[in-house]
Amino acid sequence: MADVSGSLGYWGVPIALFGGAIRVSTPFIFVSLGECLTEKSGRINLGLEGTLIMGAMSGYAISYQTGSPWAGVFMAGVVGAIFGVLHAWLCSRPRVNDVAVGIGLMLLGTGLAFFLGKPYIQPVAPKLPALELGAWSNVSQVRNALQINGLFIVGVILAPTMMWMFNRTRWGLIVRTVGESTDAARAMGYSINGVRAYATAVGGFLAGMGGSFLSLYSPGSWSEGLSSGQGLMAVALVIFARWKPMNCLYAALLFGAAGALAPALQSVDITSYRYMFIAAPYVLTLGIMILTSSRTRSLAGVPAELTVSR
Amino acid sequence: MHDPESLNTPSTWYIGDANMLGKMFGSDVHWGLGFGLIICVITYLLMDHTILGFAAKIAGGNIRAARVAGLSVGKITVLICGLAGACAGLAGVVEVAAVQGRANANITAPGYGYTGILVAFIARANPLAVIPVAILIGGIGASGGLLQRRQHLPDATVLVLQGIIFLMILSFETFYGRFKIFQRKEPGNG
Repeated sequence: MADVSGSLGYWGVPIALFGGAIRVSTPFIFVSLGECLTEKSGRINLGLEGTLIMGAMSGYAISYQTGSPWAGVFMAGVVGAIFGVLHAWLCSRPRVNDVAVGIGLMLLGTGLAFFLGKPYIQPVAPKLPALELGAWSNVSQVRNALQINGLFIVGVILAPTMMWMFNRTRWGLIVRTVGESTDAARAMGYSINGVRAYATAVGGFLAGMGGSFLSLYSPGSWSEGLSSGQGLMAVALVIFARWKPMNCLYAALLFGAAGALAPALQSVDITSYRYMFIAAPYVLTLGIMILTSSRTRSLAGVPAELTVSR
Repeated sequence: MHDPESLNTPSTWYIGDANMLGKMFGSDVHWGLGFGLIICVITYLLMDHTILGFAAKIAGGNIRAARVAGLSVGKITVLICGLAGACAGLAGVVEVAAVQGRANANITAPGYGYTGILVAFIARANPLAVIPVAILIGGIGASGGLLQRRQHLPDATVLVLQGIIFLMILSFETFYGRFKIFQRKEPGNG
């Protein structure tokens, strides 16, 4: 172990953190942006965990069948959108609870992915190519850390785009109106269920894309232990980010960096308390949530029509 | 603590037969089910027949009304969350001390936590209704092994089936009160 990091010593830790933040955070960026859009329209889709795993499986399967990983990413998005439409359709009926349907879809998505994905556990599908931004360096850690995937760049561009959409476009205003006051939206003549269906479908598309990153880039193969609750964590990150797309990006990066702490320390031979460091992102998120919350006012920025805040 | 024979999946040592929960009354059912039934009854009594349960229901139904009535909503919430956590922790103990015999990642593999939330939804948050729903869902879960052996279906079949069942029941909530047979008969009103 020691000779791998030898030339850099402890400088390897921040570099590994940087690379890890980019690698670990990409699915979080996509899922939390998708969930941000859905929650802005006034609905919670907890099923994004199932969507993520379903996207990982279908992306891997399509990449294996067609030989094109980008086709896999697209198909993962389409499958995610189908799950989003299903959630929106079920929840558009009166008295159907969106949180409960979300957990149901999570179980269904996970189960379907395991059920249909059995034949794809062994074969090796073509992976997404990485952009070698670190080719100028002759230090292997720097090169590894700067291997940036195209999907990460898409996610980084997506966050400001979504912010722009929410704040500067008619579409963003409609979505926010539906999320803040259904009465106002109804008075304006917008179909509440229609807007929410679009928002949930696009949110599902993004979550599916995030899932395809897991199976097509890092860790880069389809297995049943692929997702360890990333989808649910991303939903929590949206609350953490106070429903702001740019904050979702920062929260995902922070969470990814904290998640990369354990392997980074392991690379410089600090292996004691390894499981404590694996828990670091969760401890960090909880700590910041507690510090930024208040006894007197409710959560800042929460869409008024969300079922939890109503 | 760590069992050296479990190589890549962390696991503790086997806790030993003497420390396992026994079977109930000579049957093949372990005491975990007994604990569950007892907890269901206790929760029913707590929620429906004590002041604390009543206060918790008010706090859950309308937080402002609860504050006006002088209830300390924060304390009630923390206490009830603690009790709920204790129930979940007990489920973990049963899983270790009656089913697996050791603590490892298998305990959460079937997603008991999330499925449990849905069981509560389907039981409409009634502790006594939890018993039949939990036995139904648990029964489907337990059929996984049989499905694998007899029908050669993958173990995820159970998850798919549970997911479909949950989605069907939850979305049929919309028909509640729509037809006459679902409506509660009120005295003097027919």
